[in-house]
Amino acid sequence: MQDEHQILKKVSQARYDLEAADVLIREYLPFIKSEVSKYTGTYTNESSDELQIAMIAFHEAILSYDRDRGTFLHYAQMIIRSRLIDHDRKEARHKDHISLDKENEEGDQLIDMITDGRDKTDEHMRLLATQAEISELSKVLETFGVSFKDLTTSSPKQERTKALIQKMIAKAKEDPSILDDLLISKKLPIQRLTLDKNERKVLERHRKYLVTMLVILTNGYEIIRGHLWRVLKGGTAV
Amino acid sequence: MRYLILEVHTLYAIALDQDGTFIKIYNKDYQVGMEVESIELIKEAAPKKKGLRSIYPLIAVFAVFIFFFAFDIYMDSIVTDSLLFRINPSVKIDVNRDDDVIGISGLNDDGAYLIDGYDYDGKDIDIVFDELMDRAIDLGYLYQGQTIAIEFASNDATWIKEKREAIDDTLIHLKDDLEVKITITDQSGHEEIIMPEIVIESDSSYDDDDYGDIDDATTPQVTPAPTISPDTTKDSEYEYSDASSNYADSQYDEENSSNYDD
Repeated sequence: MQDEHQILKKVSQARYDLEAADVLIREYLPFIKSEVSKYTGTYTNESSDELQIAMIAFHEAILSYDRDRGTFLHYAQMIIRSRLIDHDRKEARHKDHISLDKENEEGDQLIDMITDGRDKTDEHMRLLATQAEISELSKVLETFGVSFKDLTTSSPKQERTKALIQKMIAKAKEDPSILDDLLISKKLPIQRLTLDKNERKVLERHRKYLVTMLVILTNGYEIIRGHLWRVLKGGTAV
Repeated sequence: MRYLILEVHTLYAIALDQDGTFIKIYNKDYQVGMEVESIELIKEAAPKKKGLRSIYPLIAVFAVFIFFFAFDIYMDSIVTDSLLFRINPSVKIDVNRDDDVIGISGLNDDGAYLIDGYDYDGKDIDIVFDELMDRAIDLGYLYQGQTIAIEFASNDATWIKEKREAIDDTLIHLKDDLEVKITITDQSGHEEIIMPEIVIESDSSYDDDDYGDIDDATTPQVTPAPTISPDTTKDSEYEYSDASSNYADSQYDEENSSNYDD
């Protein structure tokens, strides 16, 4: 009873706090794995599709649970099972196809044996380089008091705001001293960027986002700039 | 659309799409730095309904405030101490914990008549007592030779002492005008303790013609009332209980016998 009370408290908190949901899922990962194993009848691999589905189902249970539905774990168990059944039905439609993840007798996956013209070593090196850029960006942003999590809430959604940000990016590209000022003072030189009062107001709401975009414009983020080339050039990605 | 994975957690990941939007997606075994094409946006609970719920704390604070306000008003309406006097009219004056007079009542018909139309609001108990004494004289209830029995109904010895001192002026004033006998009684719990009888006598040389005149040389001395120790609540603890007999038998007789024509 005490345990159930504790779980309910955590579930209630996790419903509106993704970080708390993440902690709860880590705590109940053995339970989730065990449910998957019970369903599949095999050991659950960390990277298996079933485990990903089960984790998402567990989160779904957190979001939709209420006390009328019995104990939380029983409810989560039901949702996990139901999502795994859905996944199996979907997979059954492709049963005539061979999975690329299927392993041969030597334990190699089919996908690794198919040549697609891509250089795996190059890809790996690129991944490492991208990781290094992201790590560097994260550190620099931290000095501005900005985290990637903050950016998920301060990213502009309206086209008008996006256009304004692009205008500011274009301005900073024209005058690189704005970027220098930003890196030295660790403050957004908003007076040098904005044109009128309303624009300044809009930019204040998206200050963290604009800082990030301007930091990306500085040296050392070629891969990320490549990913965002349409935005940084003034267009929109397709 | 391609998404660059920036941060990975157990349940979710943070990705940057090619439009420059940072989003939270379900982590499907992603690694930081991966570029993916198919993602599943994280599901979020519907925001908590606002409305009344958002002002619940405010309502709670307001309710607590109202409760204490009402409780304070209620406490102010509770009689904590009383002063009763009996001439022929008997009147009870009630005060609350703040020492405000919150009611007067006539304990008999004459008492009711005496207080009829009297406004005690905002007055201290000694003022109310004084004014009712004046009314009693004006209405002919209090005259020469009468006895005024005063009774303090309180469990607070300090309060009794303070009020006893506060009505002294009125008693001296009465003594100046009339020859009256005053007895003061302290009621402690169910037990009545008789305080020393205080007799305030007029100069016997006064006659009706002199009524109202003040002659310092002939003004009789008021026998000082015994003091009540603040921590005295029981019969045995009252110093004046035994002293009263001494006071009456010896001191009083010695000092004032010459003024009496018994």
